[in-house]
Amino acid sequence: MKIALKRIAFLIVVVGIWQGIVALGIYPEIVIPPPSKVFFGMVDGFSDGTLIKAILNSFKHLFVGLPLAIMIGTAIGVLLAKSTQADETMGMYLISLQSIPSIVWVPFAILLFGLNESAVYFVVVLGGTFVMALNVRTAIHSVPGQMIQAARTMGVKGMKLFFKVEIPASLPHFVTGLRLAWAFGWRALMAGELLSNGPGLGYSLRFAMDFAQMEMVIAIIIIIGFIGATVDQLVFSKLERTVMKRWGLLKN
Amino acid sequence: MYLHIDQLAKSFPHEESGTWEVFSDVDLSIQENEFVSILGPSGCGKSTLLSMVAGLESISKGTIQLENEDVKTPGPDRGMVFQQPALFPWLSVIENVKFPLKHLSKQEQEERATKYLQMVHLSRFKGAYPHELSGGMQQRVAIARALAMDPKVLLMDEPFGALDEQTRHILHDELMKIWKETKKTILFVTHSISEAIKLSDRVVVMGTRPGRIIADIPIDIPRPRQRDDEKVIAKEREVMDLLEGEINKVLKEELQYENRA
Repeated sequence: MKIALKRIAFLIVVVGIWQGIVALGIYPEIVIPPPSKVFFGMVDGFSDGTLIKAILNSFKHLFVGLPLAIMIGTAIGVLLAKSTQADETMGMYLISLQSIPSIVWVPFAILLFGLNESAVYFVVVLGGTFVMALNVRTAIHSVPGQMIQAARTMGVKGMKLFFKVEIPASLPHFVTGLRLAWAFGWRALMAGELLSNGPGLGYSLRFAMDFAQMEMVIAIIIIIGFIGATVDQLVFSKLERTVMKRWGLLKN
Repeated sequence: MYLHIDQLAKSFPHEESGTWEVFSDVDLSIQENEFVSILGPSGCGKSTLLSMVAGLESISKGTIQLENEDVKTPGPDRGMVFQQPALFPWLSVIENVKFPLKHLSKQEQEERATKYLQMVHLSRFKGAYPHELSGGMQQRVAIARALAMDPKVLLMDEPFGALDEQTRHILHDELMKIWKETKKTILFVTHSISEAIKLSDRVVVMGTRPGRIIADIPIDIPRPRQRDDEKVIAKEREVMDLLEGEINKVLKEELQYENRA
């Protein structure tokens, strides 16, 4: 409770400073709108349904793109972890691909698919796939050797060893991979929607910019941050903590 | 002979010298229901030897036979307990013990797992998860899991090495009780002289560089053995004298290397 109070107090201070700057009247309202205007802009956006439609569309892109990224990433990760040959051939490139910011893929995707949703899906899939693959590879590599040896002394080998021991043993890293794939996928989605076509939160953001609606730009930035943090906290961090706790990697 | 090791050697490929030999010419015969410890300084290959009996390490030369059958791969006729409990954290205690029993009927699995958990006094914790148990309790689960397979030989690789002194003594007594109850043949690797003498029928002492067996000492002191028993102290001294030369050899080599550099 004390922590929540601290956080609310901090927010009040930030909004207060913001209101203060507006009150000084140095900047025109079109550049820095007062907090109240942003708030009512958000209320309007929700009540006329445009923001809700944008959010739902963004989630639609995620619900298609993220599972694809997770599946492809897991397949690549397992391949690289299990085959030294594959790892030596491609492992290095995976790291360089992961280091490319997803916004860089947007022009490529638009030229490839045109200004439509396919380009957005493409960027989301790329955004999540590489980080997932790297984490799955780490997950399988980090299974304790003694755990595998113990299983072997109990007569377990081959596919059974992989499914009954290696997969469950690597679950904590796998879940971390999921959380990162979501985080990277979410960033990639915003980049894709911003530069490509709508509907979606990113597209609404650019639309607001084109019409110089600063209050809407700020409102959407706040919504993007809020959704990002909420999904992370309520879904992925929770899942990660639950697994870590069961696996004994987290005390209390 | 029950477990028979004949002319066994282990070597690894080595960059400079071509091959690097861990040990060679190891002959060892162990009878059924015998408790044999392998004792030696680090680097003598005692753990490697045990892993070879388990089938986890390949044999470079020689043979290992268990009841006249060649050992080449791991199998449930040889249960192994490692220094770390190596339990599966996603399974409860009883599920861990049942893990090697999947070929049996559900009822048999339950009966066997319960029986061995009772033997290590952990039936109360059968629903707990490994991380909720202390290190000593986890190691007892690992022992129950190895025993549940009903192996012909129980292989133990410094199983109490990571535990505190107090817990170690308790587990020594428990192991003695289990050994009497199950009549298992136990091959026990340790670097602790007093542990080897307290537990074993025979102590096989290994030397290093090159790795080999330097002595095979029967311990004919009635059990339970007390630490302050004169016979125990005399045996400890005897083994200590044997090992001192070996440990000095390792030290000397390390110092020589430093002086050269």
